[in-house]
Amino acid sequence: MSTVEPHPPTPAGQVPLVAETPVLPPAAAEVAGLTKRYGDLFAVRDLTLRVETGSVFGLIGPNGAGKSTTFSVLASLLKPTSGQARVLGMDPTTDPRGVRSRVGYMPDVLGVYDDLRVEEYLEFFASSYYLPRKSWPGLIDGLLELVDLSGKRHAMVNGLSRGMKQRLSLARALVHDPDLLILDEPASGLDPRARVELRELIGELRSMGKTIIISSHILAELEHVCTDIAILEAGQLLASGSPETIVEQLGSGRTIEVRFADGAVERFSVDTDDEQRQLLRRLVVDDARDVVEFHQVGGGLEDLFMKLTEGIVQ
Amino acid sequence: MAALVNPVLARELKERVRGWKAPAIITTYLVMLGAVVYLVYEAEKSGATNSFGFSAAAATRSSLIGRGIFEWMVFFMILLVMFIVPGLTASAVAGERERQTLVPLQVTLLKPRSIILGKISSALAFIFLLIIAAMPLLSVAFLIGGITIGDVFKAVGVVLATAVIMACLSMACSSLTKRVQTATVLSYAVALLLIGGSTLAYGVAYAIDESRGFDAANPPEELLIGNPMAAVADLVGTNANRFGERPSSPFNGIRDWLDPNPFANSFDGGFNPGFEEPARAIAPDGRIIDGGNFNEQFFADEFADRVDDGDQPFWLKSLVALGTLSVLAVVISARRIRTPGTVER
Repeated sequence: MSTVEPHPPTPAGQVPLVAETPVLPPAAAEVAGLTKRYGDLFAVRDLTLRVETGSVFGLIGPNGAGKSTTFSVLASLLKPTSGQARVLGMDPTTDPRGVRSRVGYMPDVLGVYDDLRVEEYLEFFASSYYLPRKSWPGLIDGLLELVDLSGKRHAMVNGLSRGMKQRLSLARALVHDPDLLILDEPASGLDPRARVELRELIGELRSMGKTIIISSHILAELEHVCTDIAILEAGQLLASGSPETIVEQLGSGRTIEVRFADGAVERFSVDTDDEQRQLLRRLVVDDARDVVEFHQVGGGLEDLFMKLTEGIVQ
Repeated sequence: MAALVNPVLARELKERVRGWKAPAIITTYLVMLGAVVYLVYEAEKSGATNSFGFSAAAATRSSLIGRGIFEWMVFFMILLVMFIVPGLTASAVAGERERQTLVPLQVTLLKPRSIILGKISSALAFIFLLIIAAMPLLSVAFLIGGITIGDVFKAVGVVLATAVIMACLSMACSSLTKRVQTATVLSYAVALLLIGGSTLAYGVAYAIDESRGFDAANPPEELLIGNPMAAVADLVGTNANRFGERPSSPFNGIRDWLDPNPFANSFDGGFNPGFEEPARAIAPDGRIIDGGNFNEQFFADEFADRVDDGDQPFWLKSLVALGTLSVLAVVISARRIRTPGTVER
């Protein structure tokens, strides 16, 4: 397991859950020694994580790694078997309403009500958070614009495409203007275009000052979006930190594919940016070969993930 | 405003009136009740014209028909409510689970109790609509005679009470299951158990008692306490009038169980000549006659209420028992969707 990046000093009086990092600023969410057991099965085992305020935190892992269980604990839906969780300074087990008023949770499955219009769907959730009725029109305008569904305001929810439903679901999670957003597999089932749009939307939300925790098994998605990443496998943490740190610390070998003018394609292995630069110089300057194309194959989180989880996934 | 109307209730009503089910249910319900009114009217009419011997005046005869239509209608309204309510509420929680809409609801600030009560209210609002829609049919009986406006209120009251009880019990079934189908089957099983099960139990006990001889006492009425139909029979059903006549009512059977001597009020004293308690009777014009002289009762006494034995009325005991069961069902339902839980709900 890699270490978490060093953090700036914390204001006095903050007592973080994570013992090995005693001086930290208030975290948006943290879990310490979190374990959730169903009989003999460990959904999550002794998980310790810290999500910084204002970050986009990616939880990566294959299906059944414990991502959704962790999210359910954070979203005040599930009691952990042991260990602690704290969300925006509150304990989701003992103060679920406090957590719910400031957390937006989007589960991995898209459930929508039949026979409701987009606008009514959002109105229903606005009323479920007891938001004053007169604030609804402005709120819904803003949300629909944010998720680019303004044109679908009067459309029936069950007639929307999957991508649109996904965005509506996100708008639903944002209805009470939460400080922390927990998005469980928001990109699943989306076409490439919708994924790009989702990525842009997440960037926008971050710029609005929201902390975002997001999970995916599509690693390429998170690599570009997240400021921090944790890799989970079989309920246990394999690595955490910024994407660059993880890649660097684990020394993931990159494969460089080079296509020459004569049609030949060769592959080279490098570990760092430096080695990559030297390779390019050698080919073009020293060997004076006609390089047409020079690009990296894999080597990102995808490879890293495969490398990390090798042997664990049966 | 937002705080006044339960958000779940508002949403469910909106969804309900948009679907095709609501108009279909209302139509079927009214067609069936209309058929009941027609058939009972025809049957009673032929019974009235074919009667011979010592018969009542035409006015009381017509009140017999009116009363018959009324009691059959109440019976069918309750039967339909018991059939429709599980269909409306069994999907409440299980349906949210199936559609995977429960979790977004659980992470809102709505309390589990509000969610459950919102859903129950939505089902009841629809049942109320059915009752209102059936009013013109009920007024047929009212026009013919034999019932008072108080009877109509009683009928609406018992139908609504049955709806509340069934809604609460079906809600518990829904919250305990993951699939709508299972919840629906379970709800109908509960309805069947309440009506059929208790009637069967009483019937068996009755048969056993009967075999003991002439002086056999009826089995304890508590066996029927969970049976909404028995409570209704007690509240709405009638005993025989002075002529030993009573409307052909579906409640007669159960009522006879609850009141061992339904003919106590009749002209010849029924099976109990020593019975001296003054009868309360309903005249065709709706007047309630307590006691009074024989001549007055001769023409006016119609369907006497069950004679009070000094104890709490059976229907009240039954209502308290079923009400308690319903409250328990709501508590269980709310607990079942409360989060955070030890397992995902």
